[in-house]
Amino acid sequence: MNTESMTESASTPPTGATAAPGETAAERCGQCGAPAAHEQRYCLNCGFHRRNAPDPVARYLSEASVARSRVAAATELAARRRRTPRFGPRITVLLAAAALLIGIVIGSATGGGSATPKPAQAQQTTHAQTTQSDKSTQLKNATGSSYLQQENNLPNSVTP
Amino acid sequence: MTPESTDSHELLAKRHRLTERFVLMQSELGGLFYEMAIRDHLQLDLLVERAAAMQRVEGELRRVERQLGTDGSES
Repeated sequence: MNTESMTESASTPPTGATAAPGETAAERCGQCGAPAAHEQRYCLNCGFHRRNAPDPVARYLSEASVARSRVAAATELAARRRRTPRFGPRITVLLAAAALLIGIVIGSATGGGSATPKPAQAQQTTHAQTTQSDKSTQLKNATGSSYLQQENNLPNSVTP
Repeated sequence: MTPESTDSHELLAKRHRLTERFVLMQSELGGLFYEMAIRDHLQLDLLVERAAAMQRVEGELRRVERQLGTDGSES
């Protein structure tokens, strides 16, 4: 393992367990008390993860967690909107009642008499009889007397 | 809800927890090694100790996945 090349590429010079003199070495490990630089994310003595040090991995993970929770909340909201019906129960009942009323009105307007055919026929027969008697009455009035009255008025010689 | 589905639900939750823990430990191990390497202060016993703890978690994760009947390839 070539640690020298890694050390050269890193911004912090190799300092061992203690911090370099140029670094902020006033900090110590929260677990074992070993001196640590400010940028040191892990204690080199006990391996403790120092949470207050600037850690890009922790920052990335926390941001990813927040983004994941936002996506989950948006997905849940979309699913809830899909589950919710567009019309509420009150509007649905009103629409059903309106459709029922319209059906009743149309039904009574178009086929209301067909439900009782026999009374209608009797009514038509009565109406026809009434019309016939009216016609005979009109004829009687037009001639002045009925046929029997005219026959009675004839002279006896003419009667067979 | 049947007992089988409850057990399966618990196993899935346990697998999720173990996977999360394994990922976190792997990140910690890599971070610790990187920190030791750039400061030229490798402590192999500490790294091996962390790797052993990680191996225990992985063994538990494999056991749960066998109980679930999966190979861990599905999400």
